[in-house]
Amino acid sequence: MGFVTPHGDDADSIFQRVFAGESVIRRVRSGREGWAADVLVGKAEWNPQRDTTPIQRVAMDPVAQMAFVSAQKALTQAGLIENDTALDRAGIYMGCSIGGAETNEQGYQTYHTRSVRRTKPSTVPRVMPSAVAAHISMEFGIRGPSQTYSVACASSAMAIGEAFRAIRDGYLDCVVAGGAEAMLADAVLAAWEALGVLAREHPDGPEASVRPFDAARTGFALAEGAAVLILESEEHARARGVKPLGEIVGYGASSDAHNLTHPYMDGQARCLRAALADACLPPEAIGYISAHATGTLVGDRVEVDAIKEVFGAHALRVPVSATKSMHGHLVGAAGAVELGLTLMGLARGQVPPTANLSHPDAGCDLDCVPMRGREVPGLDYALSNSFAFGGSNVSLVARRV
Amino acid sequence: MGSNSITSLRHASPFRQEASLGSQARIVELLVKKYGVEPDKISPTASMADLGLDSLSVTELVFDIEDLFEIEIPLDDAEFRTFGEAVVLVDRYLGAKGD
Repeated sequence: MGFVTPHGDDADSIFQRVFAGESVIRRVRSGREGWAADVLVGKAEWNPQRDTTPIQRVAMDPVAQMAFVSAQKALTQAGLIENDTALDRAGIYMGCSIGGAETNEQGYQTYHTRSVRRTKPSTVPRVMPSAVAAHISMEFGIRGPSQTYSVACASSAMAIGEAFRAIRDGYLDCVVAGGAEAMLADAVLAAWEALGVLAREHPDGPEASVRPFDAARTGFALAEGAAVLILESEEHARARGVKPLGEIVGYGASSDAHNLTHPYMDGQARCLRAALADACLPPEAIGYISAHATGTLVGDRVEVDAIKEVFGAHALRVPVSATKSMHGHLVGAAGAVELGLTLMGLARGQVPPTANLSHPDAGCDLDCVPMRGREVPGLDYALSNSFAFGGSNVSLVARRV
Repeated sequence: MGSNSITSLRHASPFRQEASLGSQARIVELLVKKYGVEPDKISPTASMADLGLDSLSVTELVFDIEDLFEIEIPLDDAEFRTFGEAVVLVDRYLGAKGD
């Protein structure tokens, strides 16, 4: 697994910081002169100057740079960089909701404000969302199919789910799967602000502002980053002699067919059931749920209701946490980052917490693991939710190996 | 590191026209700073590929050069294979501009 996140780019350290309940949400000044306002965000903590070359930075928007760096870490850990033949039947499946936002913004700015009506030649290849996958394919010689999923907040969860299916169904041996998102550009932040879903700063500071399941919640913080996992068939991994970090055992997806921005319990419940059925597991087998829970009143409550609907009495026993309280909402990369955390939690028998959950909302009466992570001995299966604008839902089920 | 090499390149330069030295040094600086080109590799005969620039980077370089010198080079004229040819091209447009 490879990451570039607001908690840094080292997998172990990211998990430790999240497990400790450390929020890295901070305040930035955003907007143009006269219009600037403070916005809370999760800025990626990484070093592009060290990890990418100048020529790469000409061709790649930061979103693709983050994806590239994450893929490099994941492939290195999996021992796949030197082994060329293994990549003939390897795919690249990435999630990204809006592509090169910074480049897009600069392109429009140049076009509209300069007397010369020309934008940089690299604009189009930097903006296209599929660049995120294309660069990984080119840089590492991944020669199977390249797919980019744009499913808003469920983008990378769907990329991973479809990659899992492609391997299970025998189409591919191995897939570099994940997601990337980097849209903390001024105009994009202004657009999100207009939706009224972004968190206001809490009196205790920026870190305390994203509060899923808490009565004092005000919304989420937009964040940037990437996460890449290497998925491969059991035989493929065994033949290479590598030890898996975990196993994906179920993938469910559904559409609400209801409302563009308002989540819908029925659609989410169908998604959860589909994932459990795909994994051939009863709800009681799930020992942890990584909730989508962004920290909006409606979103949190609908998800809690869907979990209750599907898990019945077990819903009140299973730990459910929202790590977006600490890293913010990575949108197209959220599912991959959160599944990554879930897999690390499974391997360690540790469940990440929901930070800032000091006064639980009465409508969210599940065990939401407030403030600090928890040791959960015998944790075997976990489920990660990604419920997107557009009513597109994805749930992934993972197993400890 | 950059400024030393620019100086050494200037001494070694076969360019005779004094006018080109200014533009040459500025293009070197651009190549080093934005495109990460090693100053030692830059010589009049070095091709863009020798300098590690792919086709997209070369088109981007033309854009940057236009910005840097405040000139406009029509696309069908923006053809150069080597660093030396790029300097000649820039000087031609600078000359036309009257700089």
